[in-house]
Amino acid sequence: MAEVIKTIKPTAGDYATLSAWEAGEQRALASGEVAVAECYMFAGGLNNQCTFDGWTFADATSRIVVRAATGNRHNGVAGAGFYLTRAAVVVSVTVAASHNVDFEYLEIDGAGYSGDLIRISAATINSNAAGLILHDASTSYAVSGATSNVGVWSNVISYNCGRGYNSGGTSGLVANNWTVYGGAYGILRAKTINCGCFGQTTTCFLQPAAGSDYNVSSDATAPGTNKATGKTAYTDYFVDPANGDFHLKDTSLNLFGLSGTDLSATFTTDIDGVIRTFPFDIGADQYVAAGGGSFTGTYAAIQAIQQQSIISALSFSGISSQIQAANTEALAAILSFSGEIGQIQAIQAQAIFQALLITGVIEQSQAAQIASLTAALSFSGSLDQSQNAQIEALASVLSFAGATQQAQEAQTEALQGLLSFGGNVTQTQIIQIETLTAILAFSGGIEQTQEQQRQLILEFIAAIVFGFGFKLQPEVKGYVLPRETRGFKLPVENRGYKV
Amino acid sequence: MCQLLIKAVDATNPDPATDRRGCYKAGMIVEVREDNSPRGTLEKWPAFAWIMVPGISADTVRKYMQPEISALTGEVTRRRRWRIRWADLPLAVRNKMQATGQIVIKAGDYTGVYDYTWAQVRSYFRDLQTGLDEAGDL
Repeated sequence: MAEVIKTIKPTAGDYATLSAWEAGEQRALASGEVAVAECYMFAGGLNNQCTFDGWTFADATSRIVVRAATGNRHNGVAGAGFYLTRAAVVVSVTVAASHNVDFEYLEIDGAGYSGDLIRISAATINSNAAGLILHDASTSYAVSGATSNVGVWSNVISYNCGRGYNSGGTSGLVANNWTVYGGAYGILRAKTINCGCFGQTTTCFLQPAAGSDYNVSSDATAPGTNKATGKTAYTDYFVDPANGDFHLKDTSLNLFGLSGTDLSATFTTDIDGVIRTFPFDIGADQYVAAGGGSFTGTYAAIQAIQQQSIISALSFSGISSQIQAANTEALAAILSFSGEIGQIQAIQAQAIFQALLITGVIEQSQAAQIASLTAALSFSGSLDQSQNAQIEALASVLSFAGATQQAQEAQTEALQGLLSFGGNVTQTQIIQIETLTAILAFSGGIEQTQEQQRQLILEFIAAIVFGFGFKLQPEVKGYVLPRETRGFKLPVENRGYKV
Repeated sequence: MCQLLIKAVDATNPDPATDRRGCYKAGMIVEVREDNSPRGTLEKWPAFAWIMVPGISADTVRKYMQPEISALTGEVTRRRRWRIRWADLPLAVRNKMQATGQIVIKAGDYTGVYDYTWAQVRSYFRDLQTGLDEAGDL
């Protein structure tokens, strides 16, 4: 899709307010055209009311996207990134009929005002959202919808609002992994999955749509076959609910006796942008175990540095030694990251995703290598161990001085085979770590290296396909083994391999 | 003490109802900001014009950016209730906006440099709901 990005900044932006952006950019969007309002932090928030109306959309692929810019996003707690406050006694954001509007990583603070925070005012709205924090609309709705709206809203925190979400009638909007705290009502008349509503004075869930499941409530209204009710020990569940910190203190299985269902086909992150591991937790946050490190910077800053490094490396197309130097520099930047394990995993998962899109030539080969190695080295032990393992392994790779193209082709082929595995993230990581550790430890000549790589990869692919201890995903079950693997005999150390 | 961001070109929508309800037209006041508020780099002529009213608080003129709302249904029927009669503006005003991107209006107790007085320009502000032009003071 073609994104047309304009910035909303307090100074030196394309626009100084969201409503000015809407007025300036209002137009007919062609198929695939996405008009993006990228919002940066304002001291004290951006006091602005905005209505999205009057646009023309060619089809569902033409969209408006309102998002907080990278480095300007909240960290799962209000006040840490870009946020909207409201002008007087009006809704903050209104979406009119027949509009396609998406919201990403926004916070709206309704303190001191009345009126809804986001109002989807009419029918035929196609709207998606992710990573929202909506709070303190004490007598109104965090999100007010209409009956024929469609879309998926994931990872939303709503607290101290009169109502979390109300469609006004059963709608096609799906609420995934919401945490709603306080107010009179939680979520009304929507399909809710992996949602938790706590502390509502009237009811947590009302008239849920068909398909609602895996929900938790403080009263008895959580819908679905899989549910947990009567969960009222809020300070045991959340870090600081009185002050808007709804990060989980433990996995939802431990807290509520219920894990969420796997929604990774729809989204893979949580309210922080951290990659969700399996099983999904209930609510907007995915619990990350303590002890992951001592990093105190922002996730967005880390992400920006790493993405920039990777992009820089991948865009290089010079000769062998230059490629290696560029890769070394990029990887050194990546390896200098000292964040928490959960953050590392989030970035690595993104790298895996990028690698899976790669199909060929040298620059893409580099991408596959870097992304795959980054992913493979997602060791989940202590931080020091993880970093040492990464540095040691990558140093080994980078010291390779054989025929670049041959090596790249061999590595790409091998890594593509590895990456075709469709199991869950944890399984993939474990397999990749073991495989690549073995590969990287080898120090023979170029032909030997290539052959050794192929052998090791094939061993592990065989282990995956033959199902030693793995619960295979459908795409793996349908995997056709390369001719050379047929009849392949697993090494002793791989027999009975279990995760 | 305030400045008005004015849409200087029409946006259009093929659906008449959406066009009326949602599209900004030339002369509609998009926003009212305080004097010292920063401007975006795209908030300028020819897409926009500014009317500076340094003697008046933002709250005083905020009514000009309210939508037109049906008394019957309570729903928005037009993007803005008020609109400056853009096509009727004197050539000198249009030239000034084209040259500088803004005009300065004297109102209240403002004593600085200005282009026009409120009394000179207020009749160009039309209430689209009543069809009447502004006759009041700020």
